[in-house]
Amino acid sequence: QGITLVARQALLSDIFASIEKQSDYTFFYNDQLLDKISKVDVNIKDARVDDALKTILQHLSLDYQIKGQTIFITEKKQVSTDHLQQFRVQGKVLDEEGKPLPGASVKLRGSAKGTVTNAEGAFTIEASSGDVLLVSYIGYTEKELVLTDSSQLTITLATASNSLDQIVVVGYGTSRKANLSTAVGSVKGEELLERPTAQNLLQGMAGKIAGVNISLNSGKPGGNPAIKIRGTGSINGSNTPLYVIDGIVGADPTTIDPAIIQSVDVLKDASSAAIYGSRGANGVVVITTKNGDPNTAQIAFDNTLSFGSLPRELDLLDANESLEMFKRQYEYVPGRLAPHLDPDNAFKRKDDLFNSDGTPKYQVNWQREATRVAVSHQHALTFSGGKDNIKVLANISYRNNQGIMLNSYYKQLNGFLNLDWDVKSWLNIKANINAGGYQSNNIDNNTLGLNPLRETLEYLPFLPVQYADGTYSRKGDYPGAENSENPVKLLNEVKNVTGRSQSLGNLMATFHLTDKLDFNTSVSGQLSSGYTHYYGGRTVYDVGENQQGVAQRAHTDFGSWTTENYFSYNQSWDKHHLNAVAGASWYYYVTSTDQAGAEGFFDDYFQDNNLGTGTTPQIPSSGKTENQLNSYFARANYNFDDRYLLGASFRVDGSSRFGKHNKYGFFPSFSAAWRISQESFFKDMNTGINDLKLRASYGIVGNAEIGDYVTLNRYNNGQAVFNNNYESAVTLAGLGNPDLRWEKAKQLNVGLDLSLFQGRLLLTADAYNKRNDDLLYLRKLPVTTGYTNVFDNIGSIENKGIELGVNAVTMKKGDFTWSTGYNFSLNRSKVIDINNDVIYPWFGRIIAGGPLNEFFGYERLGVWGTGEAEEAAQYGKKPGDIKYQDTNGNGAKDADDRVNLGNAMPKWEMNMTNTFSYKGFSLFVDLQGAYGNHVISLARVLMVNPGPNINSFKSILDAWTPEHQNTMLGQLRVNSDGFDNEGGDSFNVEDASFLRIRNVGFSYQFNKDWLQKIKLNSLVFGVNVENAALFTGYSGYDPEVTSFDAALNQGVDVYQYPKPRTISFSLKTSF
Amino acid sequence: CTKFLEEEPASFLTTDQYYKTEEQIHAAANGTYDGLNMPFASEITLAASPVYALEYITGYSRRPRPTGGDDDQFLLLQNIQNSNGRFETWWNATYIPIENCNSFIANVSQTSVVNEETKNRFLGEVYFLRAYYYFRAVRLFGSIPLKTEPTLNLDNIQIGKSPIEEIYNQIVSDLQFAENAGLPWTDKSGRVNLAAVKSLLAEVYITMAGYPLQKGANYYQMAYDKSMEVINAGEYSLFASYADLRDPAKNNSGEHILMNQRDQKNATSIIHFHFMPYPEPSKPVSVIPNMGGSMAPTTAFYDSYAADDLRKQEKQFFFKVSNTPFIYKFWDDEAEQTSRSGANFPLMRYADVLLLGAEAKTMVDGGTTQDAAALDAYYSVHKRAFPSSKRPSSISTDDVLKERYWELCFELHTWFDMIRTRKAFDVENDRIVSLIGFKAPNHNRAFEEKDLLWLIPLAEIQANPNLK
Repeated sequence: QGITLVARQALLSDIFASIEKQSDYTFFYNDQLLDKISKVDVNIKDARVDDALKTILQHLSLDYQIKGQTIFITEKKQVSTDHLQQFRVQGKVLDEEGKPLPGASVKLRGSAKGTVTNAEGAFTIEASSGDVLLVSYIGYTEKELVLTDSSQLTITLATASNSLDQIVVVGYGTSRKANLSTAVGSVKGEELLERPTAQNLLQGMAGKIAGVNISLNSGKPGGNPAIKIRGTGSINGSNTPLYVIDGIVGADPTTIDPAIIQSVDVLKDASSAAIYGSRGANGVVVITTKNGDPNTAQIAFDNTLSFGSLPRELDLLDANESLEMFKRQYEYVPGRLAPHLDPDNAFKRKDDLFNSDGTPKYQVNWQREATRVAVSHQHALTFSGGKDNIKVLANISYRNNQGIMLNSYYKQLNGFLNLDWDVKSWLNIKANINAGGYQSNNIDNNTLGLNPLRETLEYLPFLPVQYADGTYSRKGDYPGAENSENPVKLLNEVKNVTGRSQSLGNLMATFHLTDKLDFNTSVSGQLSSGYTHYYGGRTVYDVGENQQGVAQRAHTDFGSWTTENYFSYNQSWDKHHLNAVAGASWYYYVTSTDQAGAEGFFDDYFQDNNLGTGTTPQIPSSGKTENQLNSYFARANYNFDDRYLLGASFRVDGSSRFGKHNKYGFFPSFSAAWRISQESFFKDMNTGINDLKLRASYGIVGNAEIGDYVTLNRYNNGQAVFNNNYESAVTLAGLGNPDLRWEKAKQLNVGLDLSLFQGRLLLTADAYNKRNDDLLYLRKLPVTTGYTNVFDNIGSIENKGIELGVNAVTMKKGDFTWSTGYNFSLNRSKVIDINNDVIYPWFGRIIAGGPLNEFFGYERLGVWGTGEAEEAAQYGKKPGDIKYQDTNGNGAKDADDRVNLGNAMPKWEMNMTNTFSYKGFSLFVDLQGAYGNHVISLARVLMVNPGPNINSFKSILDAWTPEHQNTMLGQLRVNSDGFDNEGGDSFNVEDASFLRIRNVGFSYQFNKDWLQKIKLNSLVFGVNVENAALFTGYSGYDPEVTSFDAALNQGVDVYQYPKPRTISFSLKTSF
Repeated sequence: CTKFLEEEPASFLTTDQYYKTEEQIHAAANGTYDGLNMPFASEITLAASPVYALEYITGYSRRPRPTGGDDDQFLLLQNIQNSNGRFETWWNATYIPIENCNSFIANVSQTSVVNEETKNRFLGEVYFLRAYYYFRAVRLFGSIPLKTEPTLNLDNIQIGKSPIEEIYNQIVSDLQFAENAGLPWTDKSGRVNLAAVKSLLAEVYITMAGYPLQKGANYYQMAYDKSMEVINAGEYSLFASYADLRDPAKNNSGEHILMNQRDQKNATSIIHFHFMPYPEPSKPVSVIPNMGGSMAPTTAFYDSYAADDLRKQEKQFFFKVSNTPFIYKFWDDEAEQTSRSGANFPLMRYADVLLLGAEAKTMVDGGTTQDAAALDAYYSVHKRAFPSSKRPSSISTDDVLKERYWELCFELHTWFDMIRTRKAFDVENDRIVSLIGFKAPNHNRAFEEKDLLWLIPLAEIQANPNLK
């Protein structure tokens, strides 16, 4: 449908109004300009807007320009002869959806000149070349640009965080937050940069969205945080959300530079996630990268230099105290002497270590020896701009992060290019390329073994790093101790470098088929290649020594392609607005792995770089897996008068992973919202409420993350030994379940969005009930079948919760602004059914009727006293032994005595950011709190028990003696004297509630007028302290911790890499 | 789009692609040996392994390194519960390999890919192994499910227990198949051989003669006859010295009828380093001293050896550190050079067969025998320990039983001898006594009837309530 105009002697303004009616375009012009024009005749039938305008204006002194949905009418440029300093700037201010923003303030910096946009968002202002135009609007981020000529400007303002006008990316489209009927949490790009030492997107997101629990479980450089959206729903399936970067489904979020991210939207409820049906069961994180601005060519250069250090040392025994502990251990048997006190025990290093009276010669603080001040720096260089119909952004970023443990590091180099091109009026092309790589030295491998983190705590303080003769000490140099390698030597001589290089490309075309109908098609591909290079040296105890050096190399190559194709349709009539999307996608993923290794090296020189040098090759291994997905989807959103909002989506997903009959799953969802504040009765009530919306949604999403090929009957192909020779051996590996189908997460969400005080206070509240049914569950089989388990759809898990998010301009007085962001979330999980199985994760138990992440074990009551000898004997114990609660009262300590010992997930958690700004100064404080969570530290289990043959915490000297009986710690003794060490008992499960000052930042933005003189656009200097302070009763380094998977084993601290406190200095400039 | 979503695995085979070639059959037969090693390879933690439970329960061994609940239940004979993980390991090490055997038998019995001779030889090995696994399990757990067909789907998977006798009948029938399958008398590569089949059959018969089936004299006679077939074949002989038992060059020959096959490079054995002394002596006896302490003889058991018994001499079956005896029987010299033990573990020894034959004959003859062959069998084992001893003119069952304790200790035989005879060796008083009521040196209390059978693991009962 084109433009049809038949008129005689019509006013131009009427003609334009008529075109506006027939199209989505609005005109923008200066009335005076039209006054000069006489009336015109037109006769146009079914023409394109472009053609219509050409015809109308061809003989007039007017020109036109189409930008987005706006047509600018200007004077025809004459060959300019004047060199007037002053010129007239015309422009239009739009929001991110391209809608005009009336009432926006437009000023020239350093001048009193200013104006306000009219109802169409348009403005005119007199300016001269070099002036800086400032455009601002409440709820939006201020924008500035340098004026060079009088060309027409289209200025798009981005919304400030959490404004109701914010544009939210909802998957295959966008929506204004005010018109959302589902639960979506959003973070703006600049918020991700509030903490400059955040090493990736997820770290930057931590604490920003209610209900999105991001645990920074490790302090290692590049350490990968664990994300949990609305609790854990699956036991054997994956619990990580789906990531979508610029429409690329399943992209890796950790490698992209947070500096180029425009926004992150988290689709939390089933209704919003259902459009990604198949993989949305754990929520969807939609990431949108920045685009160039066609009005300004800009170069931004951001730099951060930071210094990290160990924020607190654990209270370990010093040399004298450690020896006191050993002395007491040996004296458990009267007359038995500790090795350093026993004149008959002339062990090898005795004279090197001890004076003749048994006092130590060395005092070593291993936490100090094994750590350092970590110096890190990161840089990002971003070019952005555009011309006419092209917008471009190019970014290169480099980060070199040292860890606080010696020799640990993470380095990353990444390049990114984003292109947005209106090739034709009917065709838009978007292209992304992201390529780069990282490398890190993981000193914390061998989690359960004798790794350097563990040795840093367990190593004895009376042993030197190196003896006078240059040799490193070993723990076994003291005969009362378990032998192990020195942590400093482990850090220096074990190499475990992992890395990856990856590239990701996406090309998306949008065809504007009609004014209302678009067709989008995209093809994206990802390639990545990961590697591990390992070498344990020839003299490193327990790592390489026994094999005379161990070298390994492993590679994992991933490849994938996706194509997404969909129509989107927009229709408005009267007060009705309809938006619909329908399409299909195909996805293919392949992984291949290989590994080789060798042992027996004559020299440490080669490390893993010449496996052929090793005399004993290890058996090499390799593998390959593939999987495919095919989906069809549709969604419709209907909006009546901005008052009643309805949405529905349907998706059908097919996965190669399921059995023949159940490859496809169906995932519907529905949502509705009522914007009460738009009702006239409400407006009449004068409540002071600007916006109030009630929402409800229900939907079903799926989970297929179970690994490939589990529905097939599988053989395991290995080797059998016959008289030291190897022969192929094949055994049954798994029973396929051809009936396996999708796990389904059904979720009901109700919420409200509230805006008060002209948008100064925004509140979002949600309550949800999410139930995962047909769990992809490793059902236990009777082993008489020959198999221990099989994947089956069994069981249910429920997560209920409440989320609250508040954004407020707490105070605004003159140049002073104090703004606050607060979020609170509460989640309760409950296992409804797991086939009557009982699962024992680390120190925990999962059982129907109980919550997930529950610790489970014996209740420690204290220590049997000298007066209780008789009662203790019943249990085979004697005074000085640990006393446990006999829960079932059967007179014996048995498995039935175990009880629940607390949950690893907090009862509630909250985050709060406060920003105070005054002129160029701003102060930023980020608080994080969790209440009611518990942690078990393996360091405490192994080091604070009656008989550690390693170093311990100072608290161990509180152990039982006949003179000091009121204690939780059994009488000290040497390891082989025997004692109960139950690990996960009530003494070792600690309350880990905490409050953390996660970040304190101070920044100064230099005066722009002054900067202009040195041709700089902006210059910001900042100082930040990350992990500034931690208040907790937990005895380990940090209560926000797990060493295993966060889904089922949160709060299990196995010598986790401590989180540093980092002071950073950042300098951001653009010109 | 169904084609697009089809799975075509590249790194493993699926069942519909299998049993098409002789090589595939060979590889699957090799896979059925897995169950011999499974208890040695499962649930290994620091100096701990489920295999030792089979010795801890006898009460003649101790565990130098402290441990937690599961092992203590056996070590102290205290509060044994069906949640004990050791039961689960032994249970799984029964039925997982049996399923491999069942699947192999079902597929290969019908195949025409190989000729009858080859087919029978492979089937013979696998029938033997299925019998071996069932025999191990029926003695440990008593009445258990008998399953001889492979699992094809999830229908009817909760099967009930079968009477003990029915399981024995299956074992005998499987072994009889193996006996006639054309297997060679010996096999240096360590595969199942005819001697292993006949030796196991002898042990099955003597067990059926004793507890719990108590089939009596006939079966003792059959046990005697079967062992005599092995002895008279002359294919096996006792090693001249105990050190030969540890010599890798002599694996799968001489005295070793069947062994659990290991290799130093990739299929290492836990035994050598686990048996190192604990606490670690200040002067280490091993290149890897810190893995030891899993098992050592109780002093009472060690002291039961006569002073001049060669087996008691230093570095024969035991060695002493700080005047405490530790096990030397499985010491691996090569492991001390390479830090990895590739030593095989003996499953069936010729000495065992000799003593079995002798014991069976004493039972046939009413408690003592003067049968020359039986005397020779007993005497050959005894004489190696006491070279200057004289050939006795008669032997009693108790003589043979004691010899079994001393000769076969810590080779995972003792418990089975105890429950089939319902007798124990009262080491402090040097006499064979009734098992019930006997308090073994390391135990907290005396054996009771309920201790004689292991408990069906809790996890299995939960998955199959029919086994309650």
